[in-house]
Amino acid sequence: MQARRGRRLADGRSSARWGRARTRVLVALLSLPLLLYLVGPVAGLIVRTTPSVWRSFVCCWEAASALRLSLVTASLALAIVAVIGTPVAYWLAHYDFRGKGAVDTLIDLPLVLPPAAAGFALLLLFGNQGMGSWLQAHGLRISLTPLAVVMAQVFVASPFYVKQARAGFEAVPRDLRLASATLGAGPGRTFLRVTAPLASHALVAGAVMTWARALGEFGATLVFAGAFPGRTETMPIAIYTHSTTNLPAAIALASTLAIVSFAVLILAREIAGRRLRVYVAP
Amino acid sequence: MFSGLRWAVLLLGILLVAGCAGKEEPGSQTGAAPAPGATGKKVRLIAFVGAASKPPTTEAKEAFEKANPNIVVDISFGGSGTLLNQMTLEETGDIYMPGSDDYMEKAEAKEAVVPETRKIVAYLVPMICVQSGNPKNIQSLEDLARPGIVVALAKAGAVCLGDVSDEILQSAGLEKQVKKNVLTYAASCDQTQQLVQLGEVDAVIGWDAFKYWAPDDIDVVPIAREHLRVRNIPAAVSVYSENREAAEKFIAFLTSEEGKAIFTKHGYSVTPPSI
Repeated sequence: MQARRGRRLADGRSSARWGRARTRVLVALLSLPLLLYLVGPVAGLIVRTTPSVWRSFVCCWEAASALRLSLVTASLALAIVAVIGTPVAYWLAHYDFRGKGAVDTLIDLPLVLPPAAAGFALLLLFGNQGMGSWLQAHGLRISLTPLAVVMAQVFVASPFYVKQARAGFEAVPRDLRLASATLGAGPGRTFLRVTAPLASHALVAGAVMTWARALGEFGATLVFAGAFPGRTETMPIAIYTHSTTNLPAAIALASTLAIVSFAVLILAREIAGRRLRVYVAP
Repeated sequence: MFSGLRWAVLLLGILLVAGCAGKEEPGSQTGAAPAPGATGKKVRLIAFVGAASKPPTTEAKEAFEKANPNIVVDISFGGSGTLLNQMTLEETGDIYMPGSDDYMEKAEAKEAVVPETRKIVAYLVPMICVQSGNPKNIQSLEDLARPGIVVALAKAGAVCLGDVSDEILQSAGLEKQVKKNVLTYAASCDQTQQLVQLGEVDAVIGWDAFKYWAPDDIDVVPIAREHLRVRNIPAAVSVYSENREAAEKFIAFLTSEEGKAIFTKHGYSVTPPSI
């Protein structure tokens, strides 16, 4: 009897294990189409970039400066978005106020505005026809400068961070924040020691998406900052200007950007994953 | 996961080192430039140039700066329309050099350039551009109307090349017949070129320079002289320029024998074709 019961139990466990394995395989197979669709074109770019083409078009000052400019400006844009976007995300997550829906929709606006339109909007506001003359009279020129690159990236990429951060803050249990307050911690300390760590995964995810979007930004940057090689010609713009007269060069630059972005994103996830350990007491 | 980190760092390091090991651009481009006249010596010109002219203009710029060390030319490349908007909205810039003369007409209509400074830098000669080796044996405009031939044209009204294509086909009396074979209308010159370069279509009506841009992928077939419509790449001084003399000097260089040699080297026609 015991042996039969033991055999039934063993069969049941192995049946459950087999069922889970089958489900895993099925989900993996269903995920394949999208993964192949995303990886395929990028792999095609890389395969078409021969070493000689890469040496000719990527190992030159223009490509190096475009890549450097893209990495630096995207990182600066991320830092700015994190600083100015976190309060907005916190405000939307934890406070109710009149016009909250409009503010929420406003955050989404850069997502639906075509990038070129965003570029013209920035140009009209910060250019000579807007605040530009006054700013220039006080020694600050924005349009057609590297600063315009950063500002264009901040404009188009900020919604990605704000939305993720808001979701992260909303997920932090209210009880924990209240408990922190009852233990004597002020709002700032509660944010730094309780809210932010618990929302860290959302913040990191938002930061990664923001950085990636800023890195790939093209339309608004081209219009607002121009395409001056060495100053405002980012990698996406370099790919565009090369595509006109030298398609292999454009492909080589595109594959370089894809590889570098991929490497940096993996690096960011690794660092974030190891540093941010969230512990929630049972 | 840690091996993933090492892999990512290694890959990134290789690419960044390779990138940084590239030769430096001759002349100063990066960093803040001294304001014109601030040191009393260097003049900085801002030129808005059509993206299709990038290779020869970049080389011409380097040669010009070498011959004129007190003048630096900053060039922003892009679509002719976008550049014109940037120039007029910002009321800045010294030189406007669009990809074709129709944009210079628009600039003159907007009173954004000084008309008497306008010069022709290169000529754009329309050609039938086919895939390398001309596999469909397209020898004339009539062949574009053959059944089974897949054609692309630049979009008329949006691209100068599109207007030219329409004029040529109308002159040859083939507009309806050829347009039956049109797969798509391209929104820009480079898109028109890429359609035949990538084998998406059998032929396009493009510029002679397309062959130079993709010598391994594109062959050209001349268009009968009586239907030819030649356009040009012009340059003019902007009305917003504060360095007119230096700007005119650069345009004069582009149209000099040395400048013409540079444009010829890059596949452009610098003398008007006899029609």
